[in-house]
Amino acid sequence: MPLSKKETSILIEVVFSILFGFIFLPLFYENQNNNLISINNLVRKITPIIIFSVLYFSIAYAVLELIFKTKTTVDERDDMINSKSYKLGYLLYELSLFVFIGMLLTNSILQNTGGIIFLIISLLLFVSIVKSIYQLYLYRTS
Amino acid sequence: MCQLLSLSISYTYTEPLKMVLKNNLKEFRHKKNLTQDDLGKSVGVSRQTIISIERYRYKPSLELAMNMAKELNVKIEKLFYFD
Repeated sequence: MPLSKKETSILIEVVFSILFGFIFLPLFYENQNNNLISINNLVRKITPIIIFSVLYFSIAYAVLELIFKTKTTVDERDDMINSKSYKLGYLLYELSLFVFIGMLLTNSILQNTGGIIFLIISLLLFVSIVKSIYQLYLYRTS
Repeated sequence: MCQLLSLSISYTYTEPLKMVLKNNLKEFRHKKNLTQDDLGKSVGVSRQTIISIERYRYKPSLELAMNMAKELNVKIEKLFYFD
């Protein structure tokens, strides 16, 4: 069965998260030993992220609208799937907080600003990818 | 006393019957010559939801079930049943 418009939009989000991880996470990994984050450094990192995000989603959703010309109806099944996937995302987020605190206390490399930022972004990225994949799985199987 | 002792109460645990909610949605939909899209639009859900209901993958809410029964002009207990 081919992917529906909603399933394709979730796949777009998953692909974005994976691309973000591969392209921009190494930039934060490089600076994880730095204790002080300068504003200029942050702006130099965040600006390409914003540009990439805006371009990616604009092109992806424009192509999506061209391919799927029908309007989507948000119904009770969508609400149920969203609730289940956000519930999983919230549970993973809570678990990642414990992982975050544990790693901060045990790993000396991560006890600086750069390392903390890298860890937070990594955990949030992981939670986002898992939540979106679970949402896609629910759409395909329920 | 011996009679009391001879009485043995045996309790056998039986698992409750697992009843699956099924429906005749496809059958009644065909009788009314409605497509999945038509039925979805008339009751306010997407075609994918109708597909999921027909394949027993999704259990509709009471309101949706009542709306579908009303649209197909059939009693809800004929449309949905436990198997």
